[in-house]
Amino acid sequence: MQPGPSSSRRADQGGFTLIEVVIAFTVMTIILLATSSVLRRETRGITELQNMGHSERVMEGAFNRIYRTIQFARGFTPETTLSSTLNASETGQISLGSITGFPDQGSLVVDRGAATEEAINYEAHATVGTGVLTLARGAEDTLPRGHNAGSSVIWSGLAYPISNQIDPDPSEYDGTTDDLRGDIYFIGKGLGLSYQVPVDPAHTGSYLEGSEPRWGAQVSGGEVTGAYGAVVYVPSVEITEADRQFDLNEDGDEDDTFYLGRVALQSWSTDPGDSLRVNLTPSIILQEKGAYGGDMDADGFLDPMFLWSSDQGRLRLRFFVLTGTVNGHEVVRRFEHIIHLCNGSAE
Amino acid sequence: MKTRPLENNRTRRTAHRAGFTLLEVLITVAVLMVGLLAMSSTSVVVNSLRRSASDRARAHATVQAISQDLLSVARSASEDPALWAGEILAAYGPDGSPGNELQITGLDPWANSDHIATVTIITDETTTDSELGINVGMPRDLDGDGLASNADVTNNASLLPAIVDVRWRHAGGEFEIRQAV
Repeated sequence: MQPGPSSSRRADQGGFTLIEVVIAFTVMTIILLATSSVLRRETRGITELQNMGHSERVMEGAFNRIYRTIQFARGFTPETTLSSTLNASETGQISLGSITGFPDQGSLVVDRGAATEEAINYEAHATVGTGVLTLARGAEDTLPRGHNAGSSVIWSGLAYPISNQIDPDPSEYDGTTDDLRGDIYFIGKGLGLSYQVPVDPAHTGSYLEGSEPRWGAQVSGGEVTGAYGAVVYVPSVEITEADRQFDLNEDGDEDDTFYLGRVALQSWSTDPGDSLRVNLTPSIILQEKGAYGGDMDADGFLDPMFLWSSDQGRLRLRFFVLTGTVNGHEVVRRFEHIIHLCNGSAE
Repeated sequence: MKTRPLENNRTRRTAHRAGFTLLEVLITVAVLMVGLLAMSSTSVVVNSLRRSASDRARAHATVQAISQDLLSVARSASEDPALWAGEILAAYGPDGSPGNELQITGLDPWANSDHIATVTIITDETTTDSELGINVGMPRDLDGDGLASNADVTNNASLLPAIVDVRWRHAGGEFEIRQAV
């Protein structure tokens, strides 16, 4: 019996067996899964790198903005004393010898370096006399304590090198920080710098009053003579190394707590309505909770964010920024700048 | 003779179902591998570019920081012209502290170099821009005597030009930023 035409066609079009089809699908599936996995990983990696690049550009932009704002400024060193005894339970007002350079809201340290050291947050300047109002006592892991009249008060923003840089007694300083010029002994926490800049509120074209600059600041209503400004660190989110399973400050453990915060320009005058705060960065800057200005990179030196050398008109800025994650690992980058304030110090 | 067509059909079907040769499989796998490798190297390239941009930003920041610090040193130095330049050189001169060669964290130095930044403070009025390789207006009067002939103005300078040079290495390339202060 001869094969008919249809049998011959079926033989030519033999096709695939079921096992061949199953194997082909399996191989195709494996290839597709591998490709999509590589694509997913690459996309995530590139997104992470873009985020890091964005964070770096944000910080560069913030440094430029700070530089433009304060290059002609004169800086302040807000230090004073209590003008009356302060009880441990007082939450209304603190009377100070001076509030020059103290921002209209912030934090101050009483009896710095002593056993009775206490950080106190405040919400406003007193409307009568020189003082600050609405107190949160025992801030930053300190305890509310009584303080005598005459006790030292320093704005927590301030950090400055001590005058004796050659083998000082440990009681003279809070710590040492590595610097372009070598190690520096300093005092303070370093959360900001307060300043005034030459202003021209009436738009006369002159920033002089007589032969002196007309000092003030840009507040919410425009430039105001006698107003003040500050570049400050504002903590906003609390994070823990344990939650993130990452040693953010490279100190060998994962049990530290940090703030993620931003840098802002804050300004104020005698009119509370003039207060202004402008954020310069998102909340990506790290500071250890309860240890402002502490060692952030385990190099044995403290890292105050703002270090103000009033005799040189020199402001060193140092920020540790959580720039993002790469392959699931947090990346903390150190950014540093030095700004020379042309008009030096107000004192 | 009648069985011949049947044998021909079988032979033809076997030929049709022969599958891929080893060479075909190897080429296919190679093409796939090249594709996968190309995709997986994308992030390496992007990371290298980001690191390069990051290093350049850090180098720029270093130049600015040293420039600003030089201005601070000059501000705090003695107002006495006999001492002013000497005090600046005591910081950023070759024998000063920190000196004129600086390490900078986060940047790799050029091959055969152990530092990133170099500060050159010009105390010789007769030095020329072509010798320095940068335009700072030299030779010029640095001590206010109306002449540009003093070979060492350390004891009476009223003006000191400086050059900040930052050199770093990345991905086999060597880069440099020079800035006059």
